[in-house]
Amino acid sequence: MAGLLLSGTYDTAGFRTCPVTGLRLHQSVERYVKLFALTAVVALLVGGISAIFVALTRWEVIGLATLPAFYKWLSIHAWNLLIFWMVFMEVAILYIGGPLVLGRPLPLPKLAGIGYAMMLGAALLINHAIATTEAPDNAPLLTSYVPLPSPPLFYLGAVLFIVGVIIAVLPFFVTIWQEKQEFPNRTLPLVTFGAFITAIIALEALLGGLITYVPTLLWRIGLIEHLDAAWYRQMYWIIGHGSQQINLAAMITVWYFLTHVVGGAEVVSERLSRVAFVQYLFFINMGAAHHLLADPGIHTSWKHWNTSYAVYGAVLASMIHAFAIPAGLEAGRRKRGFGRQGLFGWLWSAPWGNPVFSATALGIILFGFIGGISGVVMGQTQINLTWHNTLAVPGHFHGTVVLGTTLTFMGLVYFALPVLFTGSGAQTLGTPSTLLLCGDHGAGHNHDALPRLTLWRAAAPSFGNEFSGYGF
Amino acid sequence: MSFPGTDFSFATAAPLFAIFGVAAILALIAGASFLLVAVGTLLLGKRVDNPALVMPPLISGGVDDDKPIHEYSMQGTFTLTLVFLATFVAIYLINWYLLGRLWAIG
Repeated sequence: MAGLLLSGTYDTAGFRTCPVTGLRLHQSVERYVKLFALTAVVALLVGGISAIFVALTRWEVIGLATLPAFYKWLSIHAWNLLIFWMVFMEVAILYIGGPLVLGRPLPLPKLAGIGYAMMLGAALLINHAIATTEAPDNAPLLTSYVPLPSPPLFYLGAVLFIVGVIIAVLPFFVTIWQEKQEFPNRTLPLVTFGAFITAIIALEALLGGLITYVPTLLWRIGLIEHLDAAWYRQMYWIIGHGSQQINLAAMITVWYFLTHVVGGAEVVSERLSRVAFVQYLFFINMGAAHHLLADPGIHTSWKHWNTSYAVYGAVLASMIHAFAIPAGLEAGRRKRGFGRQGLFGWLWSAPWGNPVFSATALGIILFGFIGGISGVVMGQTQINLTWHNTLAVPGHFHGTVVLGTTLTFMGLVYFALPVLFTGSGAQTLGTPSTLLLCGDHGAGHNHDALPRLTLWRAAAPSFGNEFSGYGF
Repeated sequence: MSFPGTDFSFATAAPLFAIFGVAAILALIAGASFLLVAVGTLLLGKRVDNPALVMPPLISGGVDDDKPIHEYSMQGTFTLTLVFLATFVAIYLINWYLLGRLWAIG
């Protein structure tokens, strides 16, 4: 393990030149990128094992797990895949987008180490708390809605994980500050700019997470008598959906990076792409309000403002990226003389056999067609009524988080294997694996409007919690 | 699945769950194969001295003129974008139609 992290030949200043990207890489950055990315892959393994129990229980012909065990597996699935796989990888992406692309050493590496240790410890704590949940506590799922109690160690783990991520992100911000101090008039590269926006969105989400989970921990251990469920839901979704906005911004940053490096893309209009990132900064956090569209006690005008007028600022940004990235690929490949014939010669001639490219390209297409369209449609107040609490909801977010982000991050891992870890093998099996993941998630998560967790859970005989604080 | 005291019946959803179940197994195989490739490469993969040979970089290849990038054709992307928008409109309208069928008016 240590050999994997420390491999590489560096000059006396600790730098080496990457033969693929031409970037100057400092060993301090490389080590932490590898450490965070490897941990993310382990979380993917844990989340993948739990997926066996989730899917084969939901498929009632098999019915693998009992009802309480099902919710434990579902919670482990949610936290390891939606949070740990994503966030460990995203810290690696910030270090790539920041110090690695800028050719700088990682500032405050001890802080990165402390952040990593806290994140890892908290991830283990959360998994332990979920696995050992006993009544009257409930397995938290992703949302851990108050007033349903979950184990106190779970809330403690959530707080520690959030603080750990904030600490791990600090070296990225210091990198940007140092870069601007040294070169005040130099524009940040687009990938760094995207990573910077990602980090700001992350910080907003993480602060929302502390506002949510610190009082909830205090409530669970008895120091606060009552938490209003409606308040909890509103605060929770700052991080609950905000964490998925981090995925989106990080994924798009990786799209610009990988289509350029392995596809030959050029950015057609840097200004337009940067404007789209800034739009995310101002508008995308409001999109979290779509989780509250069916909630009582919230005024319709608030719901409409956030999920209609404001969120379209973010949707427009996504439309810009959805055009800019393939357009950059087309123009860049035509300029370099790849597949100039016909309307789609540039696309057919692209390096589809390279899993880095195929994972990225299919991630872009499937994210847009399945995750993106379903998200905008279901985020619309009236249509939301027919989608709310149905299997269409996990259908949507598997379209975004699996077909989009996971596929893209898998492409990034395939890229890192020969470039950072200098090992080969991904080329031969990577592409079939990528295609398979696309095929089945496209087929398996379509809109089947069945009641999901809440109704199923309400039918469980052990459901005895009070809803007096729900705010009806 | 049944809910005591309700009229819910999931019989019509059975074929969808069959598709879901088979697809979920395929997803698990795909995820496992990714992990196998990634971890296998790390632990057993051949050491690559020059990754540029495994992953040919396209950043600097084949440029033969000084035309600015935005002057190259993007018609293929424009066509794909139109297909995307048409799909978007179709799904949006279908969902309004389905919503409209929930309540009879008049």
